[in-house]
Amino acid sequence: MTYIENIYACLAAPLLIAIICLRGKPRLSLMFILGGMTACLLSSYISSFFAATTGADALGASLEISPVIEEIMKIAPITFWLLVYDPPKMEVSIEIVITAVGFATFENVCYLTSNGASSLRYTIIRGFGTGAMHIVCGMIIALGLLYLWDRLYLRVAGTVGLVAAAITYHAVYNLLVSQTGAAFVIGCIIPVLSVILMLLLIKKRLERYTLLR
Amino acid sequence: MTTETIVNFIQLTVTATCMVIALHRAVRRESREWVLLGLFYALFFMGDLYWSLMLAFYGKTPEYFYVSEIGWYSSYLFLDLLLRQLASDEEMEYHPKVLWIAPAFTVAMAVFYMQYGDFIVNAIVAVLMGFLLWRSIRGLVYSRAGSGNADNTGMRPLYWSMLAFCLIEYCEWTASCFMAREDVRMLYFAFDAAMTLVLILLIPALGKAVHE
Repeated sequence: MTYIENIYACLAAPLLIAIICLRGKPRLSLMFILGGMTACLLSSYISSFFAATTGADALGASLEISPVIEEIMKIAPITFWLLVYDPPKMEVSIEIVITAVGFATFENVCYLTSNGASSLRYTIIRGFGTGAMHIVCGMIIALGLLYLWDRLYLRVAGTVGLVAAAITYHAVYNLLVSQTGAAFVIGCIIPVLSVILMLLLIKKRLERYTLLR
Repeated sequence: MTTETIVNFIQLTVTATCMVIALHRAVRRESREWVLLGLFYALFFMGDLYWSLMLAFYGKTPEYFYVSEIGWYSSYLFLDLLLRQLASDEEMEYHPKVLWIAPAFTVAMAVFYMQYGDFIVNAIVAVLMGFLLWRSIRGLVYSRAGSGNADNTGMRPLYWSMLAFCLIEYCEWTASCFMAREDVRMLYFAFDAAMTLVLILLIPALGKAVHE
């Protein structure tokens, strides 16, 4: 059994202290890393709850329930920030990716605690597979919002649609890596390929917003 | 290979290709309209892909949560946003009584589908399709309404395509309620093929609408 709340307490403590000590943008980014980790912790509880209520087994929960809960929870800290403050769009897009980093990091730590870190091959697959997938899901929402920010109806409805895009992407990834052989390999490669494609496609736009400078 | 596998494969290939074309145009032209169409294709593609992979790997459709449906219904949302984005202020204010056909139709169909499926899912579809049909019919009626609406004529292929998209979706859903019969099953695949054709037509239709 993995005591994920204990792992969370251990990882969150230094972040919390740093958040208290720092000011400005570094503080904000650390808050969103912590937000991502908290979202990961909560989504594990909520996914377990839905799995129990629907009678889903571990595989069913991983393929159908987790992607929905995790992507909704991942956007929760940003949604709160958007509702309370009125941040500029570039900051929102960056913080969405940072939240995804927090989420992926915490999930990987929990995975390694449960399964061990003796095999470098599997830790790399985990890092560049599932870890990168979470970042891609964050980037889908972040980049989409860059285009759909200007009008309120686009921002609100667009965010819902982009979260749906992240959910289906995540679910397809989980479906592929649940297999063996070629499907598993394709599943592992897709997140890294997606990142490369995204960077190639939108390099100019990102440069304009100084994200890549 | 079954007919279903072939039809699904063709639709997946078409939506993936259309997605790449639309997103490429979106990035090249910095166009929000193409972004919205690209996201529509992306969600439709991923909903289809998830459904097809689930069938291929496990021989069953999703049973605990509506992942594919989330993809498909959100794709309708992006189509609706696209029509909202393209409509002029004057067109937005145009509300002839004929438009009420749209919600009346979608609500009636939702009540029918509720006998076979989920209440909430069908209600959501009725709302999304209601908006899509409303905007499509309004655009067509507005462009035919007479003087002063000439700027809207380039949009007509897009409105017709959207209308065809909605109606074919309804034909497919209705056919899927009676899939046990072989003749209806073949009819369903025919509608699926027609849907693939409409998906292709959306690209030139949007091109005309944004005056390319």
